[in-house]
Amino acid sequence: MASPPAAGGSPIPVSFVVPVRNGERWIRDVIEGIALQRDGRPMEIIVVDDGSEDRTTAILRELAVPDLRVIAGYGRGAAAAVNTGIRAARFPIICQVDQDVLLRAGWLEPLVSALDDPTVAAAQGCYVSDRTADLSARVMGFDLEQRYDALQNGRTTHVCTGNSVYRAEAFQRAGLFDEQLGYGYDNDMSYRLQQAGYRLVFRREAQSTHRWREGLWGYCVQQYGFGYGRLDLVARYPRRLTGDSVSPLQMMLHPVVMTIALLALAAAAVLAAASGPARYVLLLAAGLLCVLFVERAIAGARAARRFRSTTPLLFPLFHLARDAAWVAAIATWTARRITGRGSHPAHSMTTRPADRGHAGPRGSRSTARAQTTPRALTRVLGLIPAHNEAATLQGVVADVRASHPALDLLVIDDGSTDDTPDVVEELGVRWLRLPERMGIGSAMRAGLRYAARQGYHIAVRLDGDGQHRASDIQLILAPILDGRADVVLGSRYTASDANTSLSVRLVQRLLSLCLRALTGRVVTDPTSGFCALGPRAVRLLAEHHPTGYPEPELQLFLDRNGLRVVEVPVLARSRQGGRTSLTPFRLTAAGARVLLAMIIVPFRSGVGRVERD
Amino acid sequence: MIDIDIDRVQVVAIVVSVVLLMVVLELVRRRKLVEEYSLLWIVGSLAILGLSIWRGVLDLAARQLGVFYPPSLLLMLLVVSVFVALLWFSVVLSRQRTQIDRLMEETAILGAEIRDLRSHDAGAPADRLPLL
Repeated sequence: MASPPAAGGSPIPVSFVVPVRNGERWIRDVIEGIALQRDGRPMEIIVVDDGSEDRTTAILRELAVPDLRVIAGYGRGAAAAVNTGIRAARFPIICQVDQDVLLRAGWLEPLVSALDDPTVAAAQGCYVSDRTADLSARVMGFDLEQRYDALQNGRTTHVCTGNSVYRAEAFQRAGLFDEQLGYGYDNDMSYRLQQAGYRLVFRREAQSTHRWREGLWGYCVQQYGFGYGRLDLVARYPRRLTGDSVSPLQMMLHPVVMTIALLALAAAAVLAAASGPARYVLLLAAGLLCVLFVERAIAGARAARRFRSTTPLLFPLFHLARDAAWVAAIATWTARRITGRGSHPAHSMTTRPADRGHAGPRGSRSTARAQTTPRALTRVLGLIPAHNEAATLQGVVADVRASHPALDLLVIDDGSTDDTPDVVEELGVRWLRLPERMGIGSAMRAGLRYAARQGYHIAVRLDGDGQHRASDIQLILAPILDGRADVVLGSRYTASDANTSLSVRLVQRLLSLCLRALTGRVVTDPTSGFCALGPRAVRLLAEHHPTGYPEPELQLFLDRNGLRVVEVPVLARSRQGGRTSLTPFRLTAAGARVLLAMIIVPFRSGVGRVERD
Repeated sequence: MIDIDIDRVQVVAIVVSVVLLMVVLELVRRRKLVEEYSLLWIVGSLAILGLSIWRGVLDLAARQLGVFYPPSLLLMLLVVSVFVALLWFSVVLSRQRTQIDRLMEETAILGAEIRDLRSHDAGAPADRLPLL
């Protein structure tokens, strides 16, 4: 790690890491805010696009900001996306900025200089409310600003993400963000950093504006997520029940009191229905609610005077709604705990209906999905079968690393007779070596079995000859991550036809016609090897991947075994080197095999043993 | 005297088939041939032995089947049995091919796992989360 510079020495270079998912509304401003921080030091901006479905990707492409790198995440949520960015970062200081945080000029310097002290692991800037924002966003902003006000400029026990600077070295000691946590992974990180002996620092001078969710409903949804994350945290660190410097004790007490009040209300209703003594219970509930209301009203009045704005006077209203959202979170969390279901209901970076211009049915659908799919860690392995690909393999791996730094790779060397084994070893990827040439089917089975044993859920196959573009990986993974498909085939629709011979094209055309007739599905590219395999497909094909010249037969096999296959058009390049295995003779042989498979496969019983999940 | 007249051809045939049978049995004894595959050959050589002793069987069968020239029946039997044997060998070969495939894949995976273990032992503690 670079040592802190002496005064006037060369400044420390910094990496900005920005996770984004469907952030079309603010991402341009966020990047511009980061660009404002340029002060001559080397800088890189890494945006991790975590599977955006809106215009985010297009906007990022249009931005002409130097040193901006966009890499793909896996749609596993904010913590994972931040980790992906951190892994890709090259510099010793990492500035983590969220997709809705607009940095003001002069944000960087105070935070980086706070890290001059080697015992400081992270420094957090101060959110300043935007007085032109929507009402609920203003309430949220003032509330946070008031809480920050209570902090002394210096030590803090909590550094939240999105507005902070971390020492990369600290991640090496404390580990990366916990991807299991939807919210609160920053709290978790703060605790771990402190356990590792580091200090955390708050800097009021480093100012930024947070674009909070708009509308009361968006506010409550976000608060529900915060509450849920907090419960996960407290379950992990029971001693933190009393909160931290940003979330003080009275804030932690609020939901508890609210729960009691609501329980009392419910009890009163039951008692009233059973004509029991409901009045005292009702009084208790009302009393508790009053206490909460008054406490917030006082806080609101103080904030109103401090910020010279009337908005904080609404604190009691909003914060009672917040307490209600937290109670809902407590109820859900407890219910899930008791029933033993996974506990990842909300995510800080899933689609925000309120943030999108068109908060129509699409937005609400995504939110619903985010809340139903378990956010367990999904591990993806890239498989690169290679036979005598020494010339191109390096380029392929570099290509994948550039666009998907977090993707684990496995090269399967299928009995190469050239320098491939040496090349593979130098690349530093995982590899398997088949002692003899066994064919692509065998290589895939070996790779898939390895993947399954190492606990990978999803596999992506890329050819070692470089004809598949790594930037398309995200494209073919998406349907599987969404749960829409078991197998995604990337079909090439490209101009690489130009250098394949007529006979090859003819046979390919014939193959696709036959396959179409048999599977009832449009098969545009029967010989494509670019595919992504979901969990079911991985388990099935680890045992039964067809051999020989398997791609067309694979299609029949998948169809026969009831796997959902989706085709995605991808752009293929012509081979980067080496020799193609697609000679007219081989293709004809393949055609014959497929013909046989067509006759036989429908009569075979399905392999079946793979459970439907 | 024995009323079966034994001509020289028959003697040769019997001797040859007995030798064939002995060779097969000897191969089994020396474990050069697994019992599973020896069965076919033992049955085959016994059949030849039987036919060389009772030549009348062949003539009878040929008459019954309407074959004019009995030795051609012998040839046909031979061709059929060779065909069956070959088919069976193909089946065995296919099975072994699958087994070899599986074995190769397995060695490749084991090799990688051993590498992982070794690097894990030698390398830094990678207990929490993947390093940077």
